[in-house]
Amino acid sequence: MLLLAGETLDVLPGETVLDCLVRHQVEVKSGCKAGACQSCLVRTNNVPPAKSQKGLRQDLIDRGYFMSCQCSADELAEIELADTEVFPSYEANLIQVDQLAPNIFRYWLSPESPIPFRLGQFVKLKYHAVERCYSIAEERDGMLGFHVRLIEDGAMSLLLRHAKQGGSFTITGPLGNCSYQAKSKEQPLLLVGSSTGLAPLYGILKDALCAGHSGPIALYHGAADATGIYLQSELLQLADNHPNFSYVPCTDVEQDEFRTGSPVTISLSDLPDLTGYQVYICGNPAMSRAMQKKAFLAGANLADLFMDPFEAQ
Amino acid sequence: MLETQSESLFAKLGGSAAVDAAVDKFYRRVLADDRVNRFFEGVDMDKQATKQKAFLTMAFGGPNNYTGLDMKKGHEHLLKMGMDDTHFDAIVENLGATLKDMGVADELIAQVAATAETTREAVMGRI
Repeated sequence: MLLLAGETLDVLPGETVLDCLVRHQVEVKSGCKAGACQSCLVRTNNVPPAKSQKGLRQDLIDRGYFMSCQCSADELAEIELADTEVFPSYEANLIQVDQLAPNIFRYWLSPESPIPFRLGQFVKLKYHAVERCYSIAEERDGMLGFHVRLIEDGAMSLLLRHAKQGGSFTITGPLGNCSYQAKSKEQPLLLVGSSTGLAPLYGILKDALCAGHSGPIALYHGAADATGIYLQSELLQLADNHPNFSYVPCTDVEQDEFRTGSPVTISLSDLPDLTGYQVYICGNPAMSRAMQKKAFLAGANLADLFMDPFEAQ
Repeated sequence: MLETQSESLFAKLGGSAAVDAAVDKFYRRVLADDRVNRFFEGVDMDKQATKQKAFLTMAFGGPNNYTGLDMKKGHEHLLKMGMDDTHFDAIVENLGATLKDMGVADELIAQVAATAETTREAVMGRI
């Protein structure tokens, strides 16, 4: 017997979870049926066999995803389809708002109960029926810090502009795999972000330094102009205290104290060979995808590329 | 049936560990190859890499259950983009070059190319 969304599916001897779903006319994709292509992922709260999770991204493994072609239907009690995953939600209150730049603010939220998360992962924040995704950039005394760029006419921006201390939010998550996960303390790290794409990178950087990461860490933060470069003094301070950390702010328009150009172009001209590197990328989707491809072509392995694209809305 | 032969090819190449070692090298070559990289524009790289892994597993004579129909369906959109036999040749060439870089013997490379060749008619939508 296999339980799927409250329905009981009968199981034939020796059939895989995939066979069983197909036989019951449940729509599920498949490809190689040999545990290579990962087309047939489904989720379980039971413990799937190791071979059914071989080669999957760690965050998917942690969340119970497995290849349905590589698991006997009689090995599990319940499953759910891949696109129906429900993440836990937590109530949280707004404690404090700090201005970091003309249009960039840090919102400190205190959740009612502790949330298991890694800095750099993102959550869905719901406030007055509007929901947007934000990365967990910082943590302090049980509070979570989010970097938000308030944009003209953004539905969430309009609400947040007037958010008061004690305001009540719902946090859902965490999601994503953009968090510090170096294979060794010596592995070189490259962090590339645009605008508030700095948020997860700042969290990853803090985690890396906290863990005593000794390999080189280079952070390239890009913005349209100087008004988008934020947390500069904190980052300069960190670079002073950690000789293995270098911080390179870049702006599209020419400004005296910053490198001119995109963080993608500048980081790759400084570091043309990324063999062995782990690269973390966050920012607008076009920038993120371009960086992912260029970093791969520059020698970084796909498993060492972590990307968290987001749209300002 | 070439079952025993293909199993031994997979074993000789080093099994799934060899696939893991080859997949990034192969995909990187393909993306750098101006003859074929336009077919990979804008695709999700992680998803593409798992597809490459499934293809390599098959070409290495490893476990797979691909049917000609799967292959046909998976490449129909590329035919519309102008894919022809020369592009198929380029992919097989990149595969061979990847294996050569990894120090695989020519005789085994030929066997891998022959296995990949068995998918040509389906990929080109001629079955």
